[in-house]
Amino acid sequence: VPPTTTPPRGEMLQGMLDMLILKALQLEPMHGWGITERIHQWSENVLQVNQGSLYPALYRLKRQGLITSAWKVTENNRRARYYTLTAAGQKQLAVEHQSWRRLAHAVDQIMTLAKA
Amino acid sequence: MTRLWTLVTAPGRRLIALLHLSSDEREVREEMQFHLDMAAKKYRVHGLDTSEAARQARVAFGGVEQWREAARDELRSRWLEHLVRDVGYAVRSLRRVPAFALTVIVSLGLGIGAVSTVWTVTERVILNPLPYGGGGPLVFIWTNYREKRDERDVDSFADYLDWKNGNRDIERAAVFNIWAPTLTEGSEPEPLVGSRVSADFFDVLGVRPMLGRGFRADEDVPNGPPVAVIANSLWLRRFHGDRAIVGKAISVNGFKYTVVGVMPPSFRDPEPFWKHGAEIWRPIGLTATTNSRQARYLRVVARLKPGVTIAKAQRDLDVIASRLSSDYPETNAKRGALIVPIQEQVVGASRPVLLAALGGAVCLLLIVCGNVATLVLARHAVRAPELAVRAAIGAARTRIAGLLALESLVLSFAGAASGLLVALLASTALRHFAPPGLPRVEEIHVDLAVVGATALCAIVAALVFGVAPSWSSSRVDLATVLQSGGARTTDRGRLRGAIVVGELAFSLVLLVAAGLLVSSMRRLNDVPLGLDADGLVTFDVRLPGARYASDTAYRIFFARLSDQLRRTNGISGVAMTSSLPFTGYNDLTMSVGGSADHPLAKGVGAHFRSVTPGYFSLLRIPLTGRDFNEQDGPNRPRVAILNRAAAGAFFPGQNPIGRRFLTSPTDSNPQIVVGVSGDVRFYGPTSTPEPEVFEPQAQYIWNDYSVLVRGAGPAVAVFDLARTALRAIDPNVPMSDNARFSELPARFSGRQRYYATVFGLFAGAALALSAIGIFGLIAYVVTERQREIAIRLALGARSSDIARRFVARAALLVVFGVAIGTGVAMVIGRALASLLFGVGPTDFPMLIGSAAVLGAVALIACIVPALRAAKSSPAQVLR
Repeated sequence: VPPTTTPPRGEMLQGMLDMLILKALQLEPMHGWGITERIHQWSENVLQVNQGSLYPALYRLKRQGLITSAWKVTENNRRARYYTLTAAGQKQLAVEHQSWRRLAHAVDQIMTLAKA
Repeated sequence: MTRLWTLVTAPGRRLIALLHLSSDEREVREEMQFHLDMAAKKYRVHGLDTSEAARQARVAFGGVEQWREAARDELRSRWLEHLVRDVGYAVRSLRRVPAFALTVIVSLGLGIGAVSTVWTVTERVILNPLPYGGGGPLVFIWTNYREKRDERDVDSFADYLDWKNGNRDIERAAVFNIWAPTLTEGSEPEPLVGSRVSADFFDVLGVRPMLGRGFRADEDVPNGPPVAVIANSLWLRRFHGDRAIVGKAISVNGFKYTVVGVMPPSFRDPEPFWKHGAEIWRPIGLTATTNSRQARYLRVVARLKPGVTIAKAQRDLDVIASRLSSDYPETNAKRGALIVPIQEQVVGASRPVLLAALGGAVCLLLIVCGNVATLVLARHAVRAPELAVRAAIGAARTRIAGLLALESLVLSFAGAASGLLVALLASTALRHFAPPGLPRVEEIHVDLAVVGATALCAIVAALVFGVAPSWSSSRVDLATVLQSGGARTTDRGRLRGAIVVGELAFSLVLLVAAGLLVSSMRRLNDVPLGLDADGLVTFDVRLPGARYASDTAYRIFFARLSDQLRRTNGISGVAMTSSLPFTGYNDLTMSVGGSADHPLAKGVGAHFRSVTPGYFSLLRIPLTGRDFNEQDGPNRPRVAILNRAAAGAFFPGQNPIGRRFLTSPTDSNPQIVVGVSGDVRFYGPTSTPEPEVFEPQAQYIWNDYSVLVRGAGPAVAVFDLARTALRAIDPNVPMSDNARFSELPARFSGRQRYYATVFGLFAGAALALSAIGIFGLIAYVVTERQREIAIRLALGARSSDIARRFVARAALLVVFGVAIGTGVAMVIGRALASLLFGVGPTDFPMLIGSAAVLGAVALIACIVPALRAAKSSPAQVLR
């Protein structure tokens, strides 16, 4: 197979970033910068979204039909692309949340066991 | 090479970039910029100055361009880019195996080129409609004897009128016949091919003159006004496309003819009398009263009413013909009429040969495809480890098959391109070296339809040789392949075996076809023609009508020409005839109506020839009785020499010499038979000699003679001598149709020679391809079984046994191929029947010979790999 561009590895697992984006958009439509800021804030400054992987993720989610986008004007009178969660995105968020919980629980259990 | 590739693909890449620098691209840029601005703003809030804030925002973002690229990758569908990349990959991997790629491209080029060329000819000659107007069916009407339904003889004017008027199927009809005028315009007289036509001629064909008009009914009367319509080619050649030519007078035969119309360039005579159609037409001026029913010399073309079928028109015409037979038994006994659609008339004879050639080309293409398929399979086998690795790192089966198929497609298109090149060259060559008698040759050129057909060939070829093997190759069994390190055992050998059997079968078909055609050609050349043409040259002399208006004038001119030629140094023999054998110009037919001595069978037809004394001895035609001599002058008793066929028909079982006969019931001056000549196959080796009546030139004169000359030295020098002699008598009389008479008979076998050559080439290519195919297969099997062979040898098998096993395998393929090929050849042979002469379509010696040749070639092809197997060293292979 001819070499493809290797996507740069972010600090987060890919599936996790997708989930967090969907979560961030659950309340209201937002532009990319806003999503970064919101995740940063919600995680109490722990999670910093690698901005460069944000946009590929957004376009991927859009192609999958989980979010839509539209150009709007911000409060500061600038054009920005706002992303909106779709019904499918809502459902996907629930599914991913469920599996994340199971994964987190499983990992936690192992780590606890190992400590003991 | 790499730079070339970059050069070729660069425009493609630029195009892709252009396509994608669309709104998507711009929006991504804007969105990124927005993000960077917001980040910079945040840093400014934290106290950094503007430029440092922007720098920090960039640092935080990472490599902006790189991310943009990643984002873009997610954004767009990249099939085009993938395709370009994959094509590039296919080309690169093919470049690594130039021998393979070249073999495939060249053989595909030959196969596709052969199909394209033959298709071009078929399309142009057979399928393309003739350039005549629409409406009801356009047909020819011929006459024949009812027991010889397929013959097409020329018609009499009286019969034509009865057919036309007694018939409700015919909308309009016209008659035409040969006119051989001389253009006496300017300094150099030019002999022309022309036609006398009835006024309706152009209307029946549905073609209007480009300038001026056609003929009016009041011009088509006996001794009508001298008017002419000229062909576009003549108009351009001699009158420089002068649009004011209409209404002007031109000099023809020394008379002034008013040009009333110029035909469009597309117009062609429906039935060319010679190789080129008529270039000038004049009204024929016939009336019902001036023409007897037995003077058959006209061709009839008719337009049926719309909706009338050929079958219905033929039935109605049959009724009229049988009524004429009973009303006029003297001239029309047993006479029928035959309707032939115009397309059939013009191209009908070429259909079987072209279809046969098309079949041969398709056979060749199939062999090529089979061969390429085996090559591709072998290549895939070699690449199996690579493919397995690809599958191991996660390439989908469709992706692998896609890559392999793409490689085949790239090969196909390269093959198609080379095929198109072959077709272009071949069609150009065909226009110049066309098979004799092929109509519409000038229309042959490669056009869009052929390009389309070629592309179609390429895609079909890709499907046949590429995709099927690709799919089977993409089914890789990882474990097996990776463990065995590439040597894999599959049933692929059986598929290749089947393909090779197919190749061998088709090769046999082509070999048999070529063999049959070659043997036909040789038999044709062996047929005795009845005369000895060796060392003779010939030319035509046709007297312009204005200067020579009477039989006496003709007689004086030709007598002087004979004398002048005879006196010329370097010319040792001279004779003249009104109808030269092998030229096919033989329209002068009369029926012999009776005999002064005893009643003859009615309706015996004969061809009349006017010849000079010495004709028979010059051509070495055997003669009993006496030749004509100087005493057989215009006022002497009328004499004739019959050929053997005529003697047998007029005076069956009797000695004809001294007997007298009449050429028509109204003729009161009988002719005396003074000699009987040997039969000449006038129309060549396939014709049977027809009754001929020879009369001395002095008693039966004509204005147009073929002069036969025997001279010393090269033909060109002899023509020069003759031309000087002719000029000495009258510089205004042109010499035309110069030819080496000895070369004329070759025209008849020319067709057979042509198709024998074509099929010979096809068969040779097929044989070579089959040899490559069988060589490749055995070599492949040997490679595949290397370990097995080594073990056998190590265990004590003799190398001759090993070699024998592979030869036996090849022999088995040959047996299957020959068996299948024989079956196909029996069927195909029948399609060839109309091209064959003196040999049947199922000629067993030919079949056996072809099979033997094929078998020998196949065995030679497999011996090299078989010996390699036998000589392999077990120690080397097994270690």
